[in-house]
Amino acid sequence: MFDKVLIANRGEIALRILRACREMGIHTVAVHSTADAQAMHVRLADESVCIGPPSVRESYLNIPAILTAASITGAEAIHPGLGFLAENADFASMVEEHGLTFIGPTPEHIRMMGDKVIAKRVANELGLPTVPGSDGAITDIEVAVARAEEIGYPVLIKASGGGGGRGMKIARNADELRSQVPIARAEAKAYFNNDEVYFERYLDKPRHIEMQILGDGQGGCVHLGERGLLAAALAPEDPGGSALARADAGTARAYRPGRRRRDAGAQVSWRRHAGIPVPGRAFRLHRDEHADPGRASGFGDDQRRRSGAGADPHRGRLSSRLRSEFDQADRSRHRMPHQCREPGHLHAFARQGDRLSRPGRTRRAHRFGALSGYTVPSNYDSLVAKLIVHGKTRHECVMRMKRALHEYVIAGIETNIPLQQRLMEEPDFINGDYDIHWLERFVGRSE
Amino acid sequence: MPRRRPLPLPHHPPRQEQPLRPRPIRRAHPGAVTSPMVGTVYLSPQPGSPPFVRVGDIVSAGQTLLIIEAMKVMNQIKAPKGGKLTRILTADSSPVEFGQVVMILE
Repeated sequence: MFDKVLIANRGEIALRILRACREMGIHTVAVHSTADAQAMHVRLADESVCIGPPSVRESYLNIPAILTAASITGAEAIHPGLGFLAENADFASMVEEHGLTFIGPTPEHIRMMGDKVIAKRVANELGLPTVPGSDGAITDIEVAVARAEEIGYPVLIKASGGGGGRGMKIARNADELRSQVPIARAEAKAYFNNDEVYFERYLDKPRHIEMQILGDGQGGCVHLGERGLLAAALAPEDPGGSALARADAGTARAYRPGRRRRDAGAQVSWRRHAGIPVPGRAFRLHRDEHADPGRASGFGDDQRRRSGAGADPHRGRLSSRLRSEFDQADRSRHRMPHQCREPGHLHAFARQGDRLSRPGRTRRAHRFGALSGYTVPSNYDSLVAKLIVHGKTRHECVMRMKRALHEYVIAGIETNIPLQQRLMEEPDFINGDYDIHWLERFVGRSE
Repeated sequence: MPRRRPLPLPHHPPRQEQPLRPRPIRRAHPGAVTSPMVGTVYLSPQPGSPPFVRVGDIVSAGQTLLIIEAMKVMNQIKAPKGGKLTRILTADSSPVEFGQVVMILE
């Protein structure tokens, strides 16, 4: 186990890692930009190092600064959290070259899963179902056309190194396929510096479902059920599976959190699990407190048994991301009816009696990245808090979420609570009848 | 009644040494020279050799004030303007963070 870990992330994610470390007796180093000097993850860390100005590229993505910060503070390992450098294979290998431990998958695994063509081939070799498409990258356009005729149009051309929906093109017939491939190639080259493209059958109304898989680096591996996402960016997450709160974050070297996504018949890609506090409680998964102190902690046998179907499959979870809303160019797609024009200053979580007005205690978890007096920075994710409720059925989760949202008071800034409340009234949402485009249409309708 | 297992002792006793705090001076001073990067400060070109500058020296713009080492690269930090060096707020071989005030020129 480690004595000191540097957390190369910010906000709620950094905080979650920090808390897990603290509970394990591991000292923490927070790195931050000048904009985050007063942030909670900085205040609570044992040590902190300012690594750059607000721009992400010069701070949270600044590899030399982060490695230097680790060396001047004597940290033994770096936890990248998720996002930022979490899926950067070069960073992972540089960390190892500096004699530090990268808490996460090996650089080889990151490269393998980051390249969709390779990832898909590996999945096929393992006998997993995948969406039919070009087998491998497109090299000869006529071969591609023949294959597309075989599986049927429309097909979706995608970048091998892609992500975030960039560089994807729909082709409805052979002519479009011929004309779109070079364009997709050029875009892929520009965005991802890799012009390899492939295609697969276009899924008209896909749903976004994820499985969290967690390995302890010692041969132990568990999965945490499935979960659906309404829409990536402002997703109130669907009940279903959940992911740990702590295991990933805390258990320093041992855990290799990864997340694989499979759509309807599996398109494979992976992310470090994104913002998923839907608590480990669901599966009562946590670090093995009783592991032999001499070895890095791994999963205990009872935790492995709890994995998947054995683990209380009938309990659902619903999670809402409460965020500050302000107009920001890159979020224009998700503009809310209620927005304020500039980054807000959160003055206070209003009080009721003597308590902060967060929802009553029944079966809910609450991950909190902000505190009173916090200014929601304009450079980063506007997430203020996550609200997670538990219930036996979807209905119970929805009703409980409605109640919790009703009790939630955040003053000083506009938040997406009203939107979340309207969502909870929507029959489509309540019935689980939606695809990844549903939320966009819903937001469009209400504006 | 399930039998309780004894709680294991923490593996790491709390450490005694001082953390990096107290926070470095960040006040906006017109003559403040701030560190442009995270790193380790060296006040002289070689170990044992005289420092680049001493308090009271008159420095000219562009003169090397100190070195900040980051990733084994020695970065020379030059005076942004000429003036009298009134304070050195860091010590040789000590860590600095981005934006930390290291010297004051007046």
